[in-house]
Amino acid sequence: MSKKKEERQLQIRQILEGKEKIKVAELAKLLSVTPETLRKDLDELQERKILIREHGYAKIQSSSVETFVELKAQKNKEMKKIVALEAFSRIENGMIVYLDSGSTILTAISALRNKSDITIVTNSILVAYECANMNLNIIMAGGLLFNIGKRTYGHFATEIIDHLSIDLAIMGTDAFTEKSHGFTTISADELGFKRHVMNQSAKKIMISDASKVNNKADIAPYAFCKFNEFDEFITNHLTAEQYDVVKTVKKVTQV
Amino acid sequence: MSKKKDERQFKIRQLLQEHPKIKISDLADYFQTSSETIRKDIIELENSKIIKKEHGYALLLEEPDEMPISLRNQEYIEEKKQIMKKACTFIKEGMVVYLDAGSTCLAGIPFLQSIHNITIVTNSIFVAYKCAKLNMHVILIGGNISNNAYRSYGNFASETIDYIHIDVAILGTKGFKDNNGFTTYENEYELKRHILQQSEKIIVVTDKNKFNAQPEYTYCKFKEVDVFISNTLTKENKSQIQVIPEIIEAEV
Repeated sequence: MSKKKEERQLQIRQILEGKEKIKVAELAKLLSVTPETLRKDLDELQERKILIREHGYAKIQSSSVETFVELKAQKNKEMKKIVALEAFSRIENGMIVYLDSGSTILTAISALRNKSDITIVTNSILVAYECANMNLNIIMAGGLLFNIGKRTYGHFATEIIDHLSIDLAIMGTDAFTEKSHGFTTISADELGFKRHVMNQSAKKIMISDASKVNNKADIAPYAFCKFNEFDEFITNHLTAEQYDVVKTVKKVTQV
Repeated sequence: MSKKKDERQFKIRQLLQEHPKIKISDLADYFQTSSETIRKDIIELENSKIIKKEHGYALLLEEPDEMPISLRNQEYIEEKKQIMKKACTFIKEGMVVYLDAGSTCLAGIPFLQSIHNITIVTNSIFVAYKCAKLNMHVILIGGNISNNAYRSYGNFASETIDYIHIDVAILGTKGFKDNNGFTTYENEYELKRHILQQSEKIIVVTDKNKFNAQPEYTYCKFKEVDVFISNTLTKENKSQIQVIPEIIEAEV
C-alpha cells in the first residue's frame, strides 16, 4: 500500500471511531479527496471488515484499536483493572514512574493514592488529571495534542522525556502478533514518543488486557520495540499459542 | 434567563452525565415541576447541541465528561463569556493564541472554536481537554504539575514557550489592589514572563473583583499590557489602569 493511501485509511478509521457513522460525501470533503479515491478506500476497508456502507453512510464495523479513550474504558474494564493493579504493585516509594495513555491504566489509577513520594511522568491529559486529583507530583510531557487519544506527541514531548531518568515505565500497546516481532501502535507519532520513553527508562513493563493478544497486526502497523526489550509483560490468561508469541519478554505474568 | 431555570438546566445536564437517557416525566418529578417546563428546558439545551429529545426521553449528545470541568467554578459565568467574546475580536484566522489557565479563558473556548485554523497554546489541562473535545489544534505546555493544581509550570514549561511565537496571549490575573501591575501565583510568575516575551499582543482578562483583591506575584506592569477587558468599571478602577492603551468594558 502506498504511504499516502495508508495514512488516509488510518485517518478514515480515526474519524469513524469518533463519529460512529458519517456521510460518505462529508468524509470526502474532510479528507479533500475525490469520491472515486474515497470509494476505493472504503471498498478496501469494507473488505477488511473495518466498516460497512449503508444508504450513503460509512459506519464503523469492528472495534478498531484506537477509539475514544473514554469509550474504551468501558470495555473489558475488569480485565484491565486486574492487569493495571498488578503493574502498580511494582511501583516502589521514591520512584519516577512513566504512565502511558490508554484505558488500561485509567481503570486502576486511583490505586496510586497509596503510594508515597512518587513522581508520575505522562503524556496523557487524562492520567495527569487523575493524578492531580490525588495530589501527586506530575511531570507532564506536553506537546502537540492528539485529540482523539487525549495525549501529546512530537518534539516538545520527546524533549522533556529526554531530560528525565525514569525508574519504571508502564506502557500499553495496540496490538501484536508473531509477525510484528514486538508491540505495536496505530500511530506513527506515538511510535516516536514511545521509543524516547523506553530509551530513558531503567525498567519497562508492558501491560495489556487479553483482548489485545494476537490482535490483527495490520491494523497497528508500527512496532515500537522488540518483545525482548521489555522486562515484564503483564496480561490476563494466555493460551499456549499466545504465550509463544511473547515468550522473549524477560518475564511474562498472567493475572 | 432566570436563576431558577439556569440552575435547573445545569442540573439536568449533570444528571444526564451520569444517566445518559432519562424520561422527561421522571425529570419533571425530580424537579417537582411540569413535563411542559422540562420539555422547554430540553428544547433550549437542544439548541446548544448538548442534549436531544426523543420519544419522551432526554438524551445526552455530548460525550460523558472525563473531566467534570463544567461543574467547576460557575461563578460569574455570563460576565466571563462576555469578556471572552470581546477578546475573540482580536483573534484572526491562522493565529497562535495563548490561553491562560482559569475559568475566564475556559468560558471563551466555544467562541474560539469558530475561528479558522488557530493554534491554542496553554499550560492548563482543562483548557487542553476542552479544546481537544472540540477538535481544535492544541499545544499543551508540559512541565511540573503539583499541589492539586491542573496547570504546568517550571523550567520545561518556560523553555517550551521560548520556542513558540504567540500572536495573542490572553492572560488572567490574581488580585492587584493598589498595585502597579497584574499578579499571579508564585510558581507561575516565571512562565508568564516568558509568555510576555514571546507574544505580539497581550490581553489581560479579569472580573472586577480582582481590583480589590490582595496582590500576589507581579508578572507584568500595566504598561506592558496592550488590552484590558473586564466588566463595567468604576472611575477609580479606570484611573488605576489608565496607562493601558485599550480598556474594554464588556456588558452583560
